[in-house]
Amino acid sequence: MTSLLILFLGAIVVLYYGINKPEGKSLLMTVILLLAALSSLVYDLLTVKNRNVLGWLTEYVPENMLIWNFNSIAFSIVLVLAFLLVLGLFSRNNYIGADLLGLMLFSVCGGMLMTSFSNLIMLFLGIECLSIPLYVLAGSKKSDLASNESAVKYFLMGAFSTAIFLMGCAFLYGGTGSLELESISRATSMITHLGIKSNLIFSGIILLMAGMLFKISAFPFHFWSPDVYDGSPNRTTVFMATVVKIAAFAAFYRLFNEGLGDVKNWWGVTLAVSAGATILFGNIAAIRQSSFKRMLAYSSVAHAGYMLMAILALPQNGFWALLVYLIAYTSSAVSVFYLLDRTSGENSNFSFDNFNGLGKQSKWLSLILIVSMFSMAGIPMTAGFAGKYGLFSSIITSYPWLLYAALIGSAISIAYYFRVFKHAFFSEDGTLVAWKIGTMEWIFLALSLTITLLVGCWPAVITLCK
Amino acid sequence: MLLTILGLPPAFLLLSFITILCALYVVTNTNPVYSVLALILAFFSISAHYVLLNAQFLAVVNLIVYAGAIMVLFLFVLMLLNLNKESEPIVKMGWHIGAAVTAGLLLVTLAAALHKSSEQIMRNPAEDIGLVKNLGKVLFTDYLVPFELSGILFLAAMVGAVLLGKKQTNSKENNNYSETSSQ
Amino acid sequence: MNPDSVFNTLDISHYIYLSSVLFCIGLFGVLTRRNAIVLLMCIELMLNAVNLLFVAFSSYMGDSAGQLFVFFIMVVAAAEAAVGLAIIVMIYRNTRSTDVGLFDKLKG
Repeated sequence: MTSLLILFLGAIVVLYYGINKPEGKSLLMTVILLLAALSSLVYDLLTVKNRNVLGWLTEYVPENMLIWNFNSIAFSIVLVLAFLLVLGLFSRNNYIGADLLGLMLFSVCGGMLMTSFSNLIMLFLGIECLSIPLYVLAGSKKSDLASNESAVKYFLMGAFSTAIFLMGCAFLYGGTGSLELESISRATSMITHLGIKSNLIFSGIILLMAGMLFKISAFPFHFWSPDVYDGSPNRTTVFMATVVKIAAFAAFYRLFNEGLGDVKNWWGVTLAVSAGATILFGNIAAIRQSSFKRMLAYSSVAHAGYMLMAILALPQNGFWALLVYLIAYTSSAVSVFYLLDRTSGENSNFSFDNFNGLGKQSKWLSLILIVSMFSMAGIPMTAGFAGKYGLFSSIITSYPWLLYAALIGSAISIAYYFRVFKHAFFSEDGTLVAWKIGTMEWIFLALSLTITLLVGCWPAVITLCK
Repeated sequence: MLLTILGLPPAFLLLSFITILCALYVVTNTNPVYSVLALILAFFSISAHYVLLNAQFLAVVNLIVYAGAIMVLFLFVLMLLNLNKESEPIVKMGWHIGAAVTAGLLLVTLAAALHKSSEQIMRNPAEDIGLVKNLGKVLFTDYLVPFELSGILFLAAMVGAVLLGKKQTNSKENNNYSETSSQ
Repeated sequence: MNPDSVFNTLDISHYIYLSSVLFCIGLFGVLTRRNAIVLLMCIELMLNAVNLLFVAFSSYMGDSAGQLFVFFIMVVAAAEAAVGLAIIVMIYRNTRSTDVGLFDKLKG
C-alpha cells in the first residue's frame, strides 16, 4: 500500500514540477520514485508472512477493498520492474515530457490496483485508471494519423469491453449478492457443493470472461490489438505489451483462478478453446507480416494465448508459471522493442530491412537480439523456455489437446522470430545508421539480458523468495 | 404472454416502453443531434425507473451527471464539429443484418439463461437504502478508498484531455513524443 | 412497506429483461454505426443498462453496494467521455471527419 501511495503522490509531484520545467529532471525523479516503490514492495514481500502489510494504513484501507497478499505483491513487483525497464530504455536523451510521465505513473497505479483488488469496484477503477491515460498515450503523437487511429480504436474497444465487463459484474452481483472477491468465491463454491445451477452467476462469468479476453486481446476479441500496437508511438506500444499485459493477466488470474476457481467446470473449456485459438491464430498471422512491429504485435497476441494456460491451471502451479512467463516475456520484449525503436530511427517504417547490418555494428547488440529472440521463441537456456515449460506442465493433465496446439504454435513461431537474424547477420546492404547508446540504456539493456539468462539457466531463482 | 405483460404495473410498462423506444431511436437515427436528444429522454426515463426502485439519490445523480453534464458535452462537441446534419455514410444492409443477428442472439441467450432466475436472488427489499443519508454514510466509511481513487482518476483524465486538446505552440512541443533526439 | 411498492407487484426478472434489451440495443448500435461520437453514445446506453440492472439488484436485495457501484460507473463514464471526446476532436482536426470507417490506414 505504501508503494501505491508513493506512486500516486509522486505522479502529482512530477506533474506539478513539470509545469515550470518542461524538460527538467522529471525523468530522474520518476526513476527514483519507482525505485522507492520497488523497495517498499520488496520489503512488503519479505515480511508479508510476519505481519499485516498495511501497517499504519490498515484502518483506512479495509481488506475487502485492496488485499496485499503474496500473490498481489509479487505481481506488483513485476509490474513496477517492467515500467522501470520501459522508462530506462525508451527515454531518448533523457527527454520525455512531465505530462507523459505523469500519465504513465497514473497508469501504473491503475495496474497496481488491478493486481491487488479484492472488490469488483476496485478492479473496475483499476482497469479504468490503467486505460484512460493509455488512450491519451496512444494518441500522443497528435499530428500523426496512425497514432490518431490507434487512439480512437483503442478508446472505443476499451470502452466497449468495459461495458461488457460491467454487465458481467452486474449478473455476478445479482447471483452472489456481493461484490467482494472472497464472498463471491464462497458463494460460488457453496453453489457447486450443493449442486445448484445458477444461471445468473453463469451468465455473469461468461460476460466477465468476454470482457477480460477483450482486454488481453485473446481470440475472438483480438482484432483491435495489432492495429493499436502498430499505430501507437513505440514507447506506448512497449508499455501496452509489457506493463498493461502484466496488470491484465494478474487481474484475470486473481479473478478467475482465485475468485471463481471452484466453478472452473463452467468456464474452463471455453477459456481453453479461446487459448488454443489465440495461440494458433497469433502465430500464423505473425508469419505473414512484413513489418517487424506488426509481427511483434501478433506475437504478443500469441503470448497472451500461452499465458491463458496459467489461468486454467491449479492455483499454485498457475501462479508461479504465470509469474515466470511474465518476467521472461517482459525482459525480452523490452529489448526487442528497444532495437526496433532505434533501428527505425526517425521514420515510422518498421520493416525487417531496418535490421540489415546490425550484426556488423555492435557485438553486444547482436547478443541482445539473439538472446531476446531465443527467449521469445522458447529456446532452452533462456527465460522463455523456463516460462513455457512451467505453463505447459501445469495444464498437461487437464487439457492435453491444448498442449498440442501450444507446441504447434511454438514451432511456427521459430520461423518468424529467426527471420530477423537473416536480415541482421547475413544481409550485405546495411543501411543502418549507428546510434549513440547512453549509460542508462546500457544499464537497463544489461539488466534485461541478465534477467533473461538468469531465469533461463536457473528458474528456481524466482521461487527463492517463497 | 400478452396478458402477463399487461398485468404489470402501468408505471413500469410506460417507462420501459419509452426507454426502449428512445434507445431504438438513438441507434437508428442518422442525425447525431436527434440521437443525443433521444438519449437524454432515455436517461430521464431510466431516472424514473430509479425512483420506482427507491434509489432516489441515484435518480438525481443520473439526471445531473448523465443527462446534464455528459450529454451536454456530447451536444457541445457535435455543434463544435458542425456534425448536426445527416453526414453519416450508409452502412451496407448485410452488415446491419449481421449486427441484428448478433445482438438478437445475445438477447435470446440472455433471456433463455435468465428465465426464472428471480428465485436465485435473496429478496430483502429495504425502503431507505437509496437515500442520500444512507448512501453517504456507506460511501464515506466502507467505500472511502474507491472514492479517493476516483479523484485520482479524474485528475488523470483531466491531464489527458488537456494534453490532447492543447495547441502545439512550437516545434519542440510539436514533437511532444520526444522524437527530438537532437538535443 | 407500501404494499403497492414495485417490489411487491413486480418480479425482478422484468428488470433483468429490460436491461438485457437495452444492452443489446446498445450493442446493435455499436456494431452498425460509423460515427465515432454516436458509437460512444451507444456505449453510454450499454452502461446505463448495466446501471439499471445494478440498481434493481441492489434495491431488491436491500444491499447498498450495488448502488455505490453505479455511482462509480457514472463517475468513470464522465471521465471516459471527456477523454474520448478529446480524442475525437483531435482526430477531427486532422481528418475533418469522425467516421470510423475511414480509419483503415493500419492493415496487415
